[in-house]
Amino acid sequence: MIAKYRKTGPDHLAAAVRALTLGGRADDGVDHRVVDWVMGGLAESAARDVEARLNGYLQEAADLGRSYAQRRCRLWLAACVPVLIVLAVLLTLAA
Amino acid sequence: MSDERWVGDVRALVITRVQEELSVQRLLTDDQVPHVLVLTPWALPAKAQNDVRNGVREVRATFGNGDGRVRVEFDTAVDAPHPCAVRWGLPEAETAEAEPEESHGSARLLVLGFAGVEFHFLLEPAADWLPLVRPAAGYDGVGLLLPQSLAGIPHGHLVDLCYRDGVLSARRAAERLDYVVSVDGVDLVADGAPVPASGEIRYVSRVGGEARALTYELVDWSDEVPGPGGGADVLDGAPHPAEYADPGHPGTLLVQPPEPGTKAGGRRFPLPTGRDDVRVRDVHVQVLHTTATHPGSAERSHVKIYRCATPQHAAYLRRHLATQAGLVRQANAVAGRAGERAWAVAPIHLVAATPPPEVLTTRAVPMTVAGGPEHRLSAWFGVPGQPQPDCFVLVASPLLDVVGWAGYEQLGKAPSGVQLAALTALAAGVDKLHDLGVAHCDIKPQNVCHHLDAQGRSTYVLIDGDAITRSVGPVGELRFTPEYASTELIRAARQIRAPGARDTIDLTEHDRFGFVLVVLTALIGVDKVDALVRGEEGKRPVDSVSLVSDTLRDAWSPEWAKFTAQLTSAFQPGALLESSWTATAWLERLTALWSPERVEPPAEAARIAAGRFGREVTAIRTDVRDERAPAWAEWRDELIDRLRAAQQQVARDAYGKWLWLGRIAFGVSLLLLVLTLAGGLK
Repeated sequence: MIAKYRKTGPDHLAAAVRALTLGGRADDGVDHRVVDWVMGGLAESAARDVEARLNGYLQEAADLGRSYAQRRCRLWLAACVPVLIVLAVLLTLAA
Repeated sequence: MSDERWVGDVRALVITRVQEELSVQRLLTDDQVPHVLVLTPWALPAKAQNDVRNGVREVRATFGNGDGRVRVEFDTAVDAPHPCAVRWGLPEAETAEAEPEESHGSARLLVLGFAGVEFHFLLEPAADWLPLVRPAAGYDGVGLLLPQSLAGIPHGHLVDLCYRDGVLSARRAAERLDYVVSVDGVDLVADGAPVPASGEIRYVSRVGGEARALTYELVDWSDEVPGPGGGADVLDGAPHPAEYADPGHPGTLLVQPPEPGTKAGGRRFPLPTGRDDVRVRDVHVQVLHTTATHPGSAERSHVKIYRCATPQHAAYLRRHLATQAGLVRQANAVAGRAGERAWAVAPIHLVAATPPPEVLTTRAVPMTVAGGPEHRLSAWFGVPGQPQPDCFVLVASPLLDVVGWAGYEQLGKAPSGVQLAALTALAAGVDKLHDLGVAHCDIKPQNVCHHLDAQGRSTYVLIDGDAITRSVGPVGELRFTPEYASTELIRAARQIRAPGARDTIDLTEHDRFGFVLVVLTALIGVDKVDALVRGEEGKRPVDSVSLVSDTLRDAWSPEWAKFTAQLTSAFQPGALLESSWTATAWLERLTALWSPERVEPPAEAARIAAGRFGREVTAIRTDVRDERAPAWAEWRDELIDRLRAAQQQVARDAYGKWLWLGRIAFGVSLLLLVLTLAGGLK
C-alpha cells in the first residue's frame, strides 16, 4: 500500500510508461495501417481512425502520469501533517 | 524462288480469290460462314498461315460490314499448283447449318493427361482437322493448345485430330519429322485414320529414342447450366467442415455460412474448343462468397463456393482452378527471395467439398451427416431440394485487407516514393506470371491487398486469382474491368463485337497496363487515377499520353520532370507491347529516379490530427516522413520508438502539472513552522 505511493518518482513513471503495450502483445497496435498512415497512404476516414488509436496510446500514458503525480502529491500532503501538528503545538504553547 | 516470296504469293493469291468471290456474293446471312481451303505443295509455316488467315478475315470484314467470320484451312497436296490452289466454299443459307450439326453428332469432352495433370477441350463435331500443339514461343494459331511449360511433349505441330459422327481420327502433321507419333502402337499417317475413344499418343524421338506419352479420353459432355437459387438458407447457422485438398497445404477449415438471403452470382469459365470460329464454350457456374475459420488458429480465409450443373463440370472446374493455383504458386515462388514468403498473387487452395469421415465425426452429429454436407451447401445456394453430390467446388485464399489508397491531397505535391519498395514483389510476380505464359487479367488498384510477409514487412499482393488465364487467348471470353483495360484490349474487344469475328490477344500488355495504373495510384492518389480511367471506352483520359502527362505535371512540381517522363513512358502507344518491357525493370528505373534531394521535400498535409494529443500525433507523422525509403519493418520500428518517446513526454508533462501542488503545500507548511520557530526564539 505504502509502496504504491512511495514508488511514484519520475523513474518509476518512466518504467511504468515503458511497460504500456501498444495495442496488444508485441505492440500489435502499430500495424501496416499505421505505417500507411505515416506514408500518407490512407484515405481520410481511415487516417482519422489511426490517429484516434495513437491518441488513445498517448492518453493512456498521460493518465498514468497524472495518476503517479496525484499519488506523489498525496505523499507530500501527508508529510505536511506532522509539520502542521508541530506548528499547532508551538502556537498553542505560545498562546 | 525463295520461301519468303512464295509465302507472299500464296497470301496475295488467296486474298485476291476471296475478294473475287465475296464481290460477286450478296450480303451473307448470319448462318453463312465462308470456308476457304488453301492447298500447297508443301506445308506453309504457321506464321505464314496466320498472316493469310488474318488477311482473309480483313477482306471478309470489309465485305461483311465488320463481320469477319471465315474459316480458313490449310492442307498439302503433292499435285497442288504453284504457289497454291484455293477452294472456296459457302454453305447455303437457312439449311446449311442444321445439317452438319445434326449429322456429325454431339460435342464430347477430350481429356488429355500428362504426368498426372489433365487438360480439357470440348470437341465440336466437324469435318475439319484440329492441330494438337504444344506451341513454341510466338505461336498464335488455333488448335488444341497444350501449355508451353509442358516440356515433356515436343513443341510444334505434330498431330491433327478430327471428331465427326462420334469417331475420333488422328493424323500426322508435317512439322517435327524428327519424331514418330503413334496412337496405341499404330503410327500416325498424313491421311489420318480413326483411333479409339481413349488411348495413348506416343512421341518417340528418331534421334535419342526417348519416348513421351500423352493419354487421351473422349467422354460425354452436357451443356447444362445450374439454375439460379433463391436466397441463402443457413439452416442452423453451423459452419461446413472441410479439408484442404492440396497435400502441400493440409489443414481443416470451417466454412462459415453466408449472410442469410445472400444470392449466388453467375460466373463462366472458358472451356477451349481449339476451333477458329468459336474458340471456347462457357461452363456456367453459380458462386457464393463467404469466409472460413481454422480450428486452433485466428487466421481466416476468403472462400468461394462454386455450384456446377454436373459432376463433370465440377471436375473440369477443379482442374482449371488447380492449374491457376499452380501458376500462382510458381509466380509466388519467384516474387520472394529464397526462404521468404512473399506473394505476388494471393494463393488459391482447393478445398474438398465433402470432408473426410474423421472431420465429420468430430464436427457433427452422425445422424445429420447422411447427405448433410451436400445438403448444407445446397441450402446455402437456395436450392435445398437439390443436394447435387460432387457438384460443388470450394476454393480458399487468405483473407486480406484491401489497400485504402490515399487521395492526391494526402500525398502532396511529390510522388509518394516510399511505396515503390513495397511494390517490388508484386512486379516480380507479374513478370513471372507472364514468363509462365499466363496473365492475371484483372490487375487494378481494387484487386491489391496488404500482406505481411514472414519478416513482418508489408507488401502488396494481388487477389482475385481465378481470373488468371493464358497470356494469349480469345479476347471475347475474358473477364476484365473495362475502366482498367488497356487500349489494345479495348480495341480488340470492339473488333470482336462484329458477330462471330473473334480474335486472340496477348494479355501481357493488358496486365502491364493494370500494373502501371496500380503504381500510378500509389504515387499520385486514387482520386487522380479514377478521373483518368473514367470515360467512354477508348476515349478515357488515360488513353491519351498527353493527358496523362498534363495530369502528372499539374500534380507534381517541375523538379520531378524526369521521374514523370519515365512514368509517362509506359503510356506511350505500344510501349507495353515491347517484349523487353518488364514491370520489375520499369519499377527499378522509377525507384532510381525517385531522388528527393533534388526537389523540395513533399509538402506536409496541413491538417492536424484530431484529439487531445493531435499535435503530438501529427508530429509523429511529420517527423518520420523524411527522404529515406526504408523497409516496412524499419518504418514500424521507428514508429514504435517515436510513439514510446511521445508517451514518455506526455506522461512527464501530466506528472509535472500535478506534482507542484503537494510540494508547495509542504513548502508552505515548513515555512510557517520555521517562521513560528524564529518568532518564538526572539
